[in-house]
Amino acid sequence: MTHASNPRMSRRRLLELGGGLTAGALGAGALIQTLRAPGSAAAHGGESAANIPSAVKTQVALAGTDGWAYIPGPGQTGIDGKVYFPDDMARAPQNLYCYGFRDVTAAHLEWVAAAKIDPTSSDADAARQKIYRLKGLTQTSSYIMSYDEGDQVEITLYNLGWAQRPDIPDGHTVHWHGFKNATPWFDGVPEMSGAAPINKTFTYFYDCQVPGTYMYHCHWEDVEHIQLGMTGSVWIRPKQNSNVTFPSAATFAGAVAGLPIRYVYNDGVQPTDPRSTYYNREFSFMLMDYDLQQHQKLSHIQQPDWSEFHADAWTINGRSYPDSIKPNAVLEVGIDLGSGSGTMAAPVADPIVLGVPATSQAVITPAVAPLPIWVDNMLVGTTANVGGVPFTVSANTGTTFTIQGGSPSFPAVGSVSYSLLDTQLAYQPYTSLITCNPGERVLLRIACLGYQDHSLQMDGIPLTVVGRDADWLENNVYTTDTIDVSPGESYDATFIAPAHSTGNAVDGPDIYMFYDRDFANDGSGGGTVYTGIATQVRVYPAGTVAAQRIAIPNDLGI
Amino acid sequence: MDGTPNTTAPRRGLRRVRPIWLLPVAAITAAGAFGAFTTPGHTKSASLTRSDELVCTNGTKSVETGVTIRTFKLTAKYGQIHTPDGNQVPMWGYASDEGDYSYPSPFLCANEGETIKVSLTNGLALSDPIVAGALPPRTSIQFPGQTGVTADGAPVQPEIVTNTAAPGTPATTLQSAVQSVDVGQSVTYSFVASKPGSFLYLSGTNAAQQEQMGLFGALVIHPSSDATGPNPTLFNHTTELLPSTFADSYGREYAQVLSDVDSDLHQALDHGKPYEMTAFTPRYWFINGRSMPDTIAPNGAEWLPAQPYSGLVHVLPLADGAQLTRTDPVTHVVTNLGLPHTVLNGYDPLPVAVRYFNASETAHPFHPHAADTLVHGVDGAPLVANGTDLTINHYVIEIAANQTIDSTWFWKDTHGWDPATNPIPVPTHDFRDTRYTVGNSWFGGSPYLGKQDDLPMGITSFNECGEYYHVAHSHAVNEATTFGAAMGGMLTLYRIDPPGHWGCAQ
Repeated sequence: MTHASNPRMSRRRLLELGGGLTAGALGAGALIQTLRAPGSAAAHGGESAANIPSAVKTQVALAGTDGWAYIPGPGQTGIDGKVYFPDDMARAPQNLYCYGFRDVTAAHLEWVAAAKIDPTSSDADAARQKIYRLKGLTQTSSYIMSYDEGDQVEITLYNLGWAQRPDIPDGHTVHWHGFKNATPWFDGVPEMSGAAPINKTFTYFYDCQVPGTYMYHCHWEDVEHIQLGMTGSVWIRPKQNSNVTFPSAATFAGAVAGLPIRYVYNDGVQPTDPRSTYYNREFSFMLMDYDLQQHQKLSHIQQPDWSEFHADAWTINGRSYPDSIKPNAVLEVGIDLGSGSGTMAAPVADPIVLGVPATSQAVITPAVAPLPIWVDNMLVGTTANVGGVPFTVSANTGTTFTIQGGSPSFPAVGSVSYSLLDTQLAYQPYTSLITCNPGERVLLRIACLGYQDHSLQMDGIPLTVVGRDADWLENNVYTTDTIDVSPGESYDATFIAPAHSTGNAVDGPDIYMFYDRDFANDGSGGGTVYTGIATQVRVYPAGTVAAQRIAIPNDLGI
Repeated sequence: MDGTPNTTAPRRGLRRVRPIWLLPVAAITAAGAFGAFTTPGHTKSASLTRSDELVCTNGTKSVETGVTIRTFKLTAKYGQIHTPDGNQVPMWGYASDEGDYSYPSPFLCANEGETIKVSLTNGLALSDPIVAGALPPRTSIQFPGQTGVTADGAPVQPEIVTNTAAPGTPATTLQSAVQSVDVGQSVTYSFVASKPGSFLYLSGTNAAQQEQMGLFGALVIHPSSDATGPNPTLFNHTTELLPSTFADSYGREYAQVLSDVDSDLHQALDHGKPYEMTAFTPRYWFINGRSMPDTIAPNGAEWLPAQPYSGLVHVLPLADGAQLTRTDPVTHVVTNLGLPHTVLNGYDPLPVAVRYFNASETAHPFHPHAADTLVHGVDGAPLVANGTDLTINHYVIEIAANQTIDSTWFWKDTHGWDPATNPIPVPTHDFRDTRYTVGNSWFGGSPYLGKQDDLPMGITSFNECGEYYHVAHSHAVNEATTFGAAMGGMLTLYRIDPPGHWGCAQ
């Protein structure tokens, strides 16, 4: 491999750069003060590093903070007679206190660009505000990361602090769980290295050399930060995907001809080999078990006793069934530049999601591909950027938001209605629905960061396990009905979508349940119906489900 | 984080202060304290005055009519352990005549093919029994994974006693899975160590409670062909035909015995009271009988008199061209092989062997950071079928209740970062802009192996010479706690020394 050669920033170098950037108006000492003063535009020291041109191509930024999530289920009362779920401090319509990471890459890159010119400028400040206003608005389960083998990834971790618990000065880290990190510095265990302080950053370097399914979590006060949701998945895709020796589209007997295929590992065998790891679509699942009382204790400034851990709610990608089968909760907004009066494209959405979107303005040639936008980004006054087109939210009634923007010559205006349901799941964006056409091979990347085993079964479709813990199983590839996932383990399982049944509703999908066979874990909050770790496979008539967009994890294609 | 050592070790700041080894009696001189555990074999690493490798209890070896017999004498008795939160827990365990009470019970080491004889004396005693007439229980030892085990010459059999007829009482009770003995009595179990691997031995009598009380230990059987390769191996290569030849070679050998303690249960049984197992709630989780941070103290640490076994895994990279040595796994006698070591990438050490033993009622998903664990065997059976290698890498090893795993852990210096020639390509922050855990740290101030740099005032660093520390812990992270407090319990460190600085000696 190659090693980047830029040396570490020396303080002298920092002063040289900083002095130049501030046009000499500030003395060196004053600059240091500016860079270090809490609350200033250029407050955190990590951000001063934005002045270093990084040789690492893939830039990612995460922001660690707290917030509120929603899970269905009946109220829960502790032995002291007090209700601990739903949390009476929750910001409606959420009901559960959580921690997590938000993806702030776009705003971070804006900050880097603006700070190179002037870290004290209003542009830099605006970029920084886009990150820091997310304090208390976290995401759980967190941002799904996917990279290719050979990618070098630089992750800038922002610690926004807790909105609900300003009394806790916790640091945050990113631990890529299962990743082979020789140095503890990038391993994210704060006792063995360092962490991001509140209002500052910590930079990680990951060299993606071994493909497979990994996960990441915060390792600061690990038992608490993981349990409250600072968890996410990392996929590393193998070089075999670009090796012409192995087909990139299905041409072999038994597969849907012409469909693009990828591989989970550098397995070195053709797709017809029973050990092959090829697939047509992929979906990722993070399994979690929540002790709701400990979540409530933390929002209420009480100290949990982790030896009392007793799970009473279960989630898959941060949601409990039936929320798990609702589509990705990020709105996918397209802005049309061709019309002269912009419109918003209808999001790609499953009809089952309630009220997204009511607006169906005519889309004239979307010049900008739909990109994920957060509902909670749509606060009045928010400026956002879709595919390079800036816009501002001018109104938000609670059920509809309106945008204005575009460029002076092509103002974009539009409005989108959304339902209460969407705001419930505004901080749990990932669907667990599995959609496919008959005959496709579907990959399930399953990871668990709960504290219990989960025994997953797919009713009516056998699963073939091709990988585990980011290692190809090779001669151990096996077919099973049940996958027992232990805390911290990952499994790469595949199945071939069965034929679409002709006896079903004309265009309706065939539905197969995929759920935790430890049935108690299907009852979120002690409920009596299927909730918790449960989701569905929907097999549509041939050709119904579009190919997945690689930039959108768990893309449904319908 | 609790368990903060009450050390008065100097704090590191801008002033360079050579840090002192961690934990309450940091100031003691290591050699004196651990001399009892420093076998002659450890001259391999003469600078390593603190022993952390597997400590074998070797028993007495004799040869009778051509048969090699290894005899261990164990006494079931009362003991007491210390937990990092200041608690003391009453325990039971098997003490060897070669040492005092220990938790876990001693590591019995033998060689494949030897006849093993274990004599057990029931020396259990209750503390101040509250229940009138309460007597210490019967006890026994079962050897899961061994065949042809005898007790006083008779095949081991379940002990089923006939009950006095009474309404609601079953006709018989399974008193013990194998022949047991009452207080003051003895029994000798015997078997042939027919296959190499890692095994448990534990009470077969009321095992749910007696194992919990500490009546368990590990049995390590080294392969008979061990002497043939350049380094010790976990299994035989002549008979098991592992195609990835010598992938299970190792440099240093470690054991990690996983267990937990419900202190209420211990209090009850020690006083002769019953305990309802449905109320079982562990408060402490252990590796080799210790909770973090005690796990990383060396073998025989004098402040843990009943918990002599270190949980630290210690990797000692070799410099390029260094002479390879071979340490006999039983005697620890070192032979210089006269072979130069070739550095593969940076300075890769040999893999370390890690034998996992789960001596508890629940599975533990164990997660060593930084490198994969290659699992070679489960319950003493090598993962090979019809000549096909079935070993696989894991980053989490799920070890079922009372299961054992034979593995190697191979840390590699993947990038060989060097501040001058190969610097880390992203900003590494000024220590004043980095958050450290409150009080203490194993970080030395530099991300580079063998380097140290400044840390803020108020941070006590246990880092000695820029060595790396990685954590290894149960990923049911609620178990990596000590009575609910994080960064305790079933968590230990894997330590990588800079080459040429084994144990940070010059």
